[in-house]
Amino acid sequence: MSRKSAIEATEIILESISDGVFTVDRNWRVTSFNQAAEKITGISRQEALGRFCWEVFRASICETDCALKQTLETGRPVVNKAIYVVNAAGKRIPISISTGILRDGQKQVIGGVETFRDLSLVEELRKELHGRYTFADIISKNYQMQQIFKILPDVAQSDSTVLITGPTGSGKELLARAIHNLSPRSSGPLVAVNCAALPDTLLEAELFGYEAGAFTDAKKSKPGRFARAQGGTLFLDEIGDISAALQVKLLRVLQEKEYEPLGATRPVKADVRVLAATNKNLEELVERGLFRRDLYYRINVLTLRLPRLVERREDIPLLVEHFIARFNILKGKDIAGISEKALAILMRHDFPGNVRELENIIEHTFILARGGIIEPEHLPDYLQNATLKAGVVPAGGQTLAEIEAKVISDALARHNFKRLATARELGIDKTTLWRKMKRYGIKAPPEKRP
Amino acid sequence: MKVAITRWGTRVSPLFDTAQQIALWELRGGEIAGRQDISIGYVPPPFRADFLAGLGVGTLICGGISGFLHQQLLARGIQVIPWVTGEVEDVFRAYLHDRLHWKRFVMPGCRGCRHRFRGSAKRRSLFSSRED
Repeated sequence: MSRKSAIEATEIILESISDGVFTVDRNWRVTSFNQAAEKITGISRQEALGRFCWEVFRASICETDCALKQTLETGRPVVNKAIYVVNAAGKRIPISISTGILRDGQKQVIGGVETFRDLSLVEELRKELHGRYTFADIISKNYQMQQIFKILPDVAQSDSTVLITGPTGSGKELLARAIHNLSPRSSGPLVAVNCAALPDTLLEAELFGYEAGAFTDAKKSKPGRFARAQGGTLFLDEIGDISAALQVKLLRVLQEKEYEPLGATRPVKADVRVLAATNKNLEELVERGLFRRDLYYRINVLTLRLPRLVERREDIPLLVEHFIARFNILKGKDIAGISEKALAILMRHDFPGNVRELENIIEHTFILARGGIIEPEHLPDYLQNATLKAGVVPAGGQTLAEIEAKVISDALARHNFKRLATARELGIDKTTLWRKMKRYGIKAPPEKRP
Repeated sequence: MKVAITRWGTRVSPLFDTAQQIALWELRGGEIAGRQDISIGYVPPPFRADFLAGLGVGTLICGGISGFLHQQLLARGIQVIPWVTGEVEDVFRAYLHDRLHWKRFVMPGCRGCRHRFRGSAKRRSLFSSRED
């Protein structure tokens, strides 16, 4: 092929591909601009040629973190960096860019080349997917959580008592709020009480209220939380912590739908739906005689069990994205996302504090990360130290292949053999994981649904 | 009356959303009463309109700008002249002489942009010069 026809062939190829491609000379002037670039930016080739690249692209990184400049300075290409450009209509267009060095026949650097892909469609699909995994402010694609989402509208419509169980920080109050918001009582109040936060005598007065003169300091009557929740929902958190005496009174409200404020002579009608939550095993408390069996049956009409975050690891990326978006608004920042390495650290962590701990971690990163992407160094020290420790594998006479096979099968077990989540934790590609599983003969157990 | 231009070295910043500095002029009776450079790199994008309003900026001249921030500025009564490119000092002089619509001060793809010069009290005069 002659040199002329080779150039023509290159031009045809560049014009045919759907990725935008442009080149600059050493003075950052645009020297070529393909058809896809025209389509994505909305700027004609005629207008773009000869202009500074930042005038054409107006990208989020032009001023402070130019990828093309980095490549020309270090010689290293940038691959698939996610940024945004602003078009002439003022619309932010998410794109993914890759850069390289442009050399002449004598291997002299004559400029740089950048390819870019419009991620608008990907972004829209991501949002749609995100919507599918969101239910009344709760985000999850976990199977157990999806089952809860499925029955939640029916649960909300009924007026029966619901017991929400789950470890601390797993979102019990959020679920209670969702039930209330979806219920016919949504226009009424939702009143929450943490039963473990108050001593028993105070809790009784707080729940049922008191009449003037009921005790020495009761100069005026005070309505209790039951009265304040009239026509709405009362959420009793940490119900496993209430005393035997209060359990009796609570049982009466649930059975008779009426209660007596302290010092009152007549009972008051209670039009309140009760939602209860606990992180304790109530059944065990009943067996040990610490919780009344009749009250247990009364509140346990329907139980919703929230899994620990480690049981729904696949939700970690979704939740991270959700918290980043929330803190961006609350704190007025512009964090674009989290790096693969930082996410891999989070995927390996056990989260004893569950979703609340993850939320706190992201809030912590917002203090250290000024903008751009959350990196491992922005995570709290205890996570970084844990990673260092985890990095030391006790080899005990094993070969490298044996250690790798063990690490892979352990990670797969942690993620219920979900390959994408496992690959993300291990920081490798899904296909690489598949190849390694095949090589080491690691097979997923037969499908088992809870 | 205060006029701000987003600054990147000696040139107008490519994008207001991520601009790090502004050059700020105070005009009194058609004369320049003062000029200073102010860092805005630490001001997160959603707070930039409030920050400029707090400085008393009446007109902002910038490069690209996302629609949301543009609206935020207009809502605070700040006149926005976006999609401007060139050397900051040349741009400021062009502003004083109503020449910002000249081709060399307009970013590519932005000739006749709908939002250009929106909120401008001097719209007519800004379009009245001779160069195409």
